[in-house]
Amino acid sequence: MTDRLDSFTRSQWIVIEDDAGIVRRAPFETLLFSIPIRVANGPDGPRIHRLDTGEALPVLRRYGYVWSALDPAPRPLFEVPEFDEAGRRFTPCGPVGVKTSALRVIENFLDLAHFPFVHPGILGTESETEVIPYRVEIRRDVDEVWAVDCGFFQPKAMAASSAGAQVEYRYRVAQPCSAVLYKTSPGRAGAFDLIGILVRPLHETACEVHAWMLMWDEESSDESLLQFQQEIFLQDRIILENQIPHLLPLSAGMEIPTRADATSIAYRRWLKNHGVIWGTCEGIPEVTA
Amino acid sequence: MSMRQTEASAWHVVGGWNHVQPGAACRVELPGAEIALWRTEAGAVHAWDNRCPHRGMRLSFGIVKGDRLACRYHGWHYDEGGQCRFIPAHPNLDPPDTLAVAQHATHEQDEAIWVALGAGPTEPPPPLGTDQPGFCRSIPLPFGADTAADVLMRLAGASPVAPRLMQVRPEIGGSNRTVTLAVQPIDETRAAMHVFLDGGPKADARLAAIRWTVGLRWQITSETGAAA
Repeated sequence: MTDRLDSFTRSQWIVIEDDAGIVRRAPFETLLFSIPIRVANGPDGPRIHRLDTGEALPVLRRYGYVWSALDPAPRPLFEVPEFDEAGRRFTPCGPVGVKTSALRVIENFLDLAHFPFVHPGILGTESETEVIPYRVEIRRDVDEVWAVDCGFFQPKAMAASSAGAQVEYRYRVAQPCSAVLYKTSPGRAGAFDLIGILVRPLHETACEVHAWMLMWDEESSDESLLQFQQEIFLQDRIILENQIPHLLPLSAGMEIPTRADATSIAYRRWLKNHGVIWGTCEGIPEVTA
Repeated sequence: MSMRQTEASAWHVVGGWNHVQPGAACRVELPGAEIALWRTEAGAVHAWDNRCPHRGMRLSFGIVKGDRLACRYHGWHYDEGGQCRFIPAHPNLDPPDTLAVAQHATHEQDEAIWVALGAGPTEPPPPLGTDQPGFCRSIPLPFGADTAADVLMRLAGASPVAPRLMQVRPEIGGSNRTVTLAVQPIDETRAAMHVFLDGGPKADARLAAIRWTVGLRWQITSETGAAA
């Protein structure tokens, strides 16, 4: 299946595990784009090898995670300056295995319109379902997809929320398999909390999802933050594993979007423009599963 | 997956009448097709492609609201004709006619739900017996439909009476009764069998027929070495 691995996807840093997970689990074997790899931890840090060829893979430690890539010279990792802001609280969550394409997971993360139906009483309510128009832009300097001026009424936007609120969202696709959202912080007026999602493709239609939070929240316990994310992710997983096909369609016609799907439309177009094949329906005639 | 023409134009029993209750939806499979089977609150049964045209979500996870099916993902409403009537993200938008789910033919008769892919045959399906047949039980079979027919002939002594339909007269509740076995093809390695008993809704006999079916399932599992 690795003949479906396009050069853009191949050149990306991919999340392997969070720092604590490396300490807890290493040495362990896992998959990266269907290729078996071995992750070990030594005095000079994690080492990652392909099990099929024995080749050593590049290793990067950043944002509380260990990253690797099949390409010996990966593209630079995206910048998240908020990681350097003193006072923010970092919480990694995961990993959770999901039987679908990593790209379906990212697209669902970028979606506002499902909140009232998939996360009722938390991220949305059936009495307020309208998605008001927002702006989508490709930021050429960093080659990222951004959606800004997104707003949604949420009964319980974050673990620390005490009441419903009109929440402002910004979405950012930093890599094909990594996205960040910025949402109004209930803990600090005028500031944004960050929630990120990092997905490692195990196979084209199976992946491991890591989520992280970077928040202004000194009150919530680690346990309540994790529970909040896990509850939401479980709700999403039921959807994700029941979207047919599991591969993401990039060509128009297979799925019909509306204006509320502007971010998804831009994401699919951006993937297509970069020649992304892995995890998509590209090159597969009449995909049905 | 390619769809065999013979299967495409044929009626198939996909379950008993209670397989999908009013206000419920479930998933059924036929060769080359995954179907969302659902019933309006008023009781009309529908068989649709199991994919919301918007983002591919299985409609068998949908929620029945009166005579409409709402997709679980974004709440899009489809009417009984499969036409999208409401998009909650745009409550004031009149959905275009092109937004519709592909439908398959359905027929209810003898306490069975029949589905035929596409528009279906012009003729209705054959009867499932001669004396008020009633639904007893469905069981999965761990082989393709052709093998299933061979196994049912060999182990249950059933004789074919119509395509995918067989009959047998085992002793049930103290007398020999006509039982009709409807084989639902799924793929090369899976099928389902739906069992109907002649003689109207006599509770004791039906319970005995269910016991006979369970016994047959056990016999199939043990004698073919297949895990049902």
